[in-house]
Amino acid sequence: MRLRIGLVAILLAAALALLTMQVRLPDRREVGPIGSLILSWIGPAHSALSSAGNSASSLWRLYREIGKLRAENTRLREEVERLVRESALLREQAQATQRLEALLEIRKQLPGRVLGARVVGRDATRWFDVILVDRGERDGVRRNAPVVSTGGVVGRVLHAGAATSQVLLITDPRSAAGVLLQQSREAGVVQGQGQSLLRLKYISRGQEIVVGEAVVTSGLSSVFPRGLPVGSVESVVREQGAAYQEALVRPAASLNRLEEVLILLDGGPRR
Amino acid sequence: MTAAALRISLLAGLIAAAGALDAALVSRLLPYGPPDLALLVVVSLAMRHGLLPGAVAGAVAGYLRDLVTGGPLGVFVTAYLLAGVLIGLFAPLANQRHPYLVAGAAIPATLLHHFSAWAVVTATGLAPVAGLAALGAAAVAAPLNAVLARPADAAVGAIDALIFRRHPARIIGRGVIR
Repeated sequence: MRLRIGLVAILLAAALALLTMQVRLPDRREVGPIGSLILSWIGPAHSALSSAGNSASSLWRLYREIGKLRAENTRLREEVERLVRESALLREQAQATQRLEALLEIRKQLPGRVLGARVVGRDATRWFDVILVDRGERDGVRRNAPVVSTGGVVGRVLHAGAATSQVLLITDPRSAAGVLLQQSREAGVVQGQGQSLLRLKYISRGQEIVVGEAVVTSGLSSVFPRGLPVGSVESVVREQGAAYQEALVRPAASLNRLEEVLILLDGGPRR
Repeated sequence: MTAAALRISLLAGLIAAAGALDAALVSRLLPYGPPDLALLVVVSLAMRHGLLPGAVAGAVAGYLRDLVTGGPLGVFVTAYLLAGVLIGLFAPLANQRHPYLVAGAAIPATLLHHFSAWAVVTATGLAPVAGLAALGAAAVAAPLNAVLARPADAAVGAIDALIFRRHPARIIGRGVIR
């Protein structure tokens, strides 16, 4: 045991001596030939390990970068989704504004009090051409009040509830209105067929109907005031032996895409 | 090759490999308070074989570390040597079969190693090393060394077992082979 302790003491003394000697050197370091030899051995291994370390560091950085990119990607996706939602909302609002501006323009030309209403429902079966609007009796809406849109005549109020009303579209078979061919001033009646086109009836056979001619309300019925656009002639129907000729009329209003309408509270014919 | 020569070669190779791993990899991955694999080999040798092998292993590990780090030779020789001596002195008192023996020994060895290196550098005026920073690095390194002590000890144990299998009639140390 003493020998061991003695050897350890010698080792310690040698270490301190080495340290003292090195500290006294000008560069404070001198590895000597043995140190140089060892360094030449371990140098390549050190380089290889260092390269491996660099690769490991690169992989680690890449891994961390991927994590950051993933988080950034998620954030950007959410941002894009939010912007897409906002964009759609703004586009919707812009379109609504355009529609409302057009309605406002129409409203200036209409007689009496006019009430704007939003279309809130439609017969899901499409068997009946009826829409539901968000205005009712408490807003002054009454049965048979004319309803128009930016294009022209939409229909009339079929039933006025307290807060909502049902509007019978002019395409419904129960719907009919007195009209005039705008150019020839020939009077007739348009009636719904449950389809997209209206049937113009009771035009005298001697009168030539021009395809594309505008059809407006005549004011002769008790519902619609005079001069509201109803549609335009799509085709003429002449049946052999019939007393009158008929025509198919395309409604001026886009009845399948109604979103806002105007209800004429003081409706009825204007003489 | 004799058993002693083979053992010395393998252990020197292990210390050199541990030192190279420390310098090239470990210190890069953990810049502040990295674990010290060479020190763990020294601790394991000191625990298994006692004072003198621990001291010699410490001197060799320190010398290699000094060579690699570029500082004056002797700084880490002293620090590793002291750590090996400390563990080697207390090794006979410890229960060699305790599973956490090496991990437990790694903590005081790390603290002593850090303190002695700091003391040497400060006393000789080699570099301005803040004591608090050195203490922090030691506090970080000690538990990491405790965690890695068993794998390092297993490597030393594998070399011992190899020597024992090749030369079963020779006594290769006074410690036990775990």
